[in-house]
Amino acid sequence: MAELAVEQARNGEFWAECVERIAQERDKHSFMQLFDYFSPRVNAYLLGQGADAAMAEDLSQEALLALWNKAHLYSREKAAVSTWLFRVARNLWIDRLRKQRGIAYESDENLAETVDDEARLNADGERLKAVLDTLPQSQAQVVYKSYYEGKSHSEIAAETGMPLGSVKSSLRLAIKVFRQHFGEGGL
Amino acid sequence: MSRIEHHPNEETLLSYAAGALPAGLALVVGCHLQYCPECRVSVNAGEALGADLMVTLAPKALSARARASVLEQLDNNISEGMIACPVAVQQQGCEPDAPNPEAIPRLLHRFLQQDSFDALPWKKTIAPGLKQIVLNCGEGDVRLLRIAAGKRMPVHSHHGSELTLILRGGYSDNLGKFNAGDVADLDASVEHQPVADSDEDCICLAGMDAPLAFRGWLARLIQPLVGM
Repeated sequence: MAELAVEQARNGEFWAECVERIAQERDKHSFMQLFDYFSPRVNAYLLGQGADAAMAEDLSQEALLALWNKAHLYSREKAAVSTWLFRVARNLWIDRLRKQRGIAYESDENLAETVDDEARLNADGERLKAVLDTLPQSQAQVVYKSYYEGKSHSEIAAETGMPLGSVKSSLRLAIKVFRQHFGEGGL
Repeated sequence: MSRIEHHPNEETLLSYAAGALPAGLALVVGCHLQYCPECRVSVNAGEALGADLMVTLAPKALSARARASVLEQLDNNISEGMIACPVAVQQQGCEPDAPNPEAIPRLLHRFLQQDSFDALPWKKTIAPGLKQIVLNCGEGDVRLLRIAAGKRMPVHSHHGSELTLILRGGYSDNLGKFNAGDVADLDASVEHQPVADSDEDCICLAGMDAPLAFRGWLARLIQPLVGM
């Protein structure tokens, strides 16, 4: 059972089919499969961004319910289900914890439509972890602090004592490594 | 319409995708994305990376109560979202727009609630030929700048990061020629002196995460007065 879950986790098509079944048939079983796989990960992400346990749980529920309510807007050509959820979760925590940044993002409906399909990272969890492990510590650190803590370049510089220019070049180098491993993907 | 030639740096787009840019800088990137298909692709790839990173996190399950409550809400919400989402919402923002010198970018329009640049309450600064509107975004500094046609700005560099999106007209500096839709992504290592095109005022949206540092005694003298 656990193995089956991991197998499915690697398969973006499986999740895309789940969302399509929700859109067409309001299929609760598909939704709960999505819920059980993604909500603990969205929750972990939100906790990392500084949400307390109650707020993280709240926002995770909200993010997954958005998937249920907006399934008809989903298009597998435009984005992976996980990318779509990441975007919703990011916008939710910005909305709750970093309200000021809300001015800079289109609504989720618009975002679902504004992306281009060629941008797809061909990473799976295991490979991505392996690549992260190969990054020099400074590069891994700036990637983590950007994605998991929502820290700006200047904030990372102040926290780590790295010069601002080094923070930026470390991120640039990390992007280059991701590209080498997972294809252009536009990154 | 000229093609967009200057873009935010890769690491700026990645941080935007991560939700990690301060509001002042993020707003400039968000407005640029309305016009730039290339950068949309980069941001999307950054979001795909964010999604993969999120999925690799050690899962933290929600409580059984939360799960039950979500299950309960599925029936309540049925079709509400489907009806409430008109086609117009989906189509809006679908394709990148050509930069339009008369139109305020969507995100900026949402923020300003104004339809025309010319109707905005431009304030004079001590720098000749430079007007501005400071936007209170709560994080970092973002302002609209209006440089009179043909005017030369004082030489300056920056303490932190600065992103400038050209909205109307254009300017030239040692980095090149910047036209509507272009973004200059600068940091402390860059010192520049923009000169506005001679045929029309140059309007840009400039986001900063730290105050500018003017060079030279005159510039330093006027800096507190300009408020830059």
